[in-house]
Amino acid sequence: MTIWDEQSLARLCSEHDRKAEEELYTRYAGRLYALCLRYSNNPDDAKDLMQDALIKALNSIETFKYRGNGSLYAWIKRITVNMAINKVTRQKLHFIPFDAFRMDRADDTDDDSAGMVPEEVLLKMISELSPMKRAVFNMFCIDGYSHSEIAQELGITENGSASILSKAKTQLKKQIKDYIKQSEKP
Amino acid sequence: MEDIIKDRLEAYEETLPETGLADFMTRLDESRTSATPNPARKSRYSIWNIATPAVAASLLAVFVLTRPQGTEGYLANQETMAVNESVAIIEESEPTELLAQADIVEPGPDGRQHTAATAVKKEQAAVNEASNSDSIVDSIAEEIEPEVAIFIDSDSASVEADNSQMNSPISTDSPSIFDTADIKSAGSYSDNQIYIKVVTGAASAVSTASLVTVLSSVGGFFARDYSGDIGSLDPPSDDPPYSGTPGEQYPDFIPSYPDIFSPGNPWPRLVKDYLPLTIGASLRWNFADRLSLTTGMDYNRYKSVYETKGWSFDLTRASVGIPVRVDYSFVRSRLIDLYLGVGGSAEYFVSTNVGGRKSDEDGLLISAQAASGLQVNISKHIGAYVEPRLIWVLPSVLYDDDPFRRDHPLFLKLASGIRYSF
Repeated sequence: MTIWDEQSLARLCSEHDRKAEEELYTRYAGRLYALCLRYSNNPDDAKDLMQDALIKALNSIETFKYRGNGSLYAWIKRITVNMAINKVTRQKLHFIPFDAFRMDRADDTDDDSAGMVPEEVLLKMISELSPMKRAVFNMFCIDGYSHSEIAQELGITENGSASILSKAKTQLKKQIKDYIKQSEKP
Repeated sequence: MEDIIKDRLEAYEETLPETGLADFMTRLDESRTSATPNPARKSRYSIWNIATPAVAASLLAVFVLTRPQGTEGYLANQETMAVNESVAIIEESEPTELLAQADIVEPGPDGRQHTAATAVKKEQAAVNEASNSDSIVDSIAEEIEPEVAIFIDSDSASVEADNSQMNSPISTDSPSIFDTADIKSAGSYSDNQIYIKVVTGAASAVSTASLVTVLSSVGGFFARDYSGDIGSLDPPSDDPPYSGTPGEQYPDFIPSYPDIFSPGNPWPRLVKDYLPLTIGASLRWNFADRLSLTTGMDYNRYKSVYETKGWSFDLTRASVGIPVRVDYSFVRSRLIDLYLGVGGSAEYFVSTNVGGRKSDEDGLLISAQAASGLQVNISKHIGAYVEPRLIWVLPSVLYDDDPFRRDHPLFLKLASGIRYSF
């Protein structure tokens, strides 16, 4: 079995090598699917998003520039995140709650309880957030966007982004606490 | 908490079904063979993205066409800019001077070919003549210097010099001058300029049609003519008809506002209705992706000229109003925001002036409104807006005896101001 490094893999994919394309899917689809599950609340939608993102990446792989180990996944991940964000912004209406701009004082004390929750449960909790809270939480906490970038992408203000994030964190904390209470019951 | 979640989920992999790879490769092949790479992608353009700019453009066109200088001045400037190469013209009775270089341009409107400077000056003269500036035309005409002209027969590429005082003949050997292809291409209107002309012409046609439609829908109030019975307020028969001008002494036989519009009196005839203007401060709450709630405070100014019994008077009213509207942004970028909105407004009249006489008449005006607007974003939260608004005054018991706008409740208004968005 041939193991390609990222640079070779990208080169072969740009030549439409079938085996290289399959290898790309096998290598990255699982992680990308998990990423898409974070952005959508539906496994089927997440699967479609993941496949669309990989197809787009493969059809434009010649534009990829190798910048070191991990750069290929980072490039495909960026494409996937952008497509996920576009899907959120393309929704006709997503309402921002009237009190979204009131900065809640979120409980910022260190809380390690999230470490006791399985990943698939965490994914489910995130998917249960409203589309806007889910997008802001994912973009800020996991994918490294700043509030300014989030505001620009989603068409909201920076203050709005910060406030929505605060509410998302509050909701997740409550869900995690409830889950742990449930799991501790005999 | 979020750091833990990030560490846990960033590298997390979900298990995919075994058929996932086969499904994916099938979709990949389909994307490469189908015409559209992503057939599932819906068109980004909906009817609203087409209809809303069209409506906004129509409303804005109303104001463009009412400007003193329509598109004529703009087109004249375009004509001037189109002339970029030149051939001198020999004036038959004028002394001539051979140009150092003779490049070919397409003939001008008069079928003759001109130097750039001559053409520009002549065009400028035409524009100024259109604006009745005879002295300017004369002075420009004096400045046009006679120059050598070469009449080019583009078909035969021959040269003919009309003036025997030419210093030297023009060579016919230079292919760059007399080549037919060069004649046809050099100095002609560029594609951009033709495009601008076509678009301007089409926009003018659409705007004219929109203007006719809008004006007919407001009841043609510009040409409103009232005729009423001569009632008990006839002036004394031995007094001549009053022919004062607005601002002069208010005739005693003319009732004050609003009695002047009472059914028992001869109804004043609307002579002229100025475009109502509004200036305001606005607040906008973006409660959804492209939807926002807009409110604020406006200062409105209405002015009309009426005539009654030979006396014409201004009716000027000012009001302070609070509009409430839901806006839909169909173009939103960092710099501009184009939107349409519907809503209403409540205005309270703070001053009424009839023919120079102040009236104590106040009153409330409730209206429904539709607006299209352009907002230029000065900063993240602050923008300046210009909004043509279509207003429909709703009858209200609160001002039942106030005849203001009762006969022409539908009208256009132009609003501008500063807006804070959040």
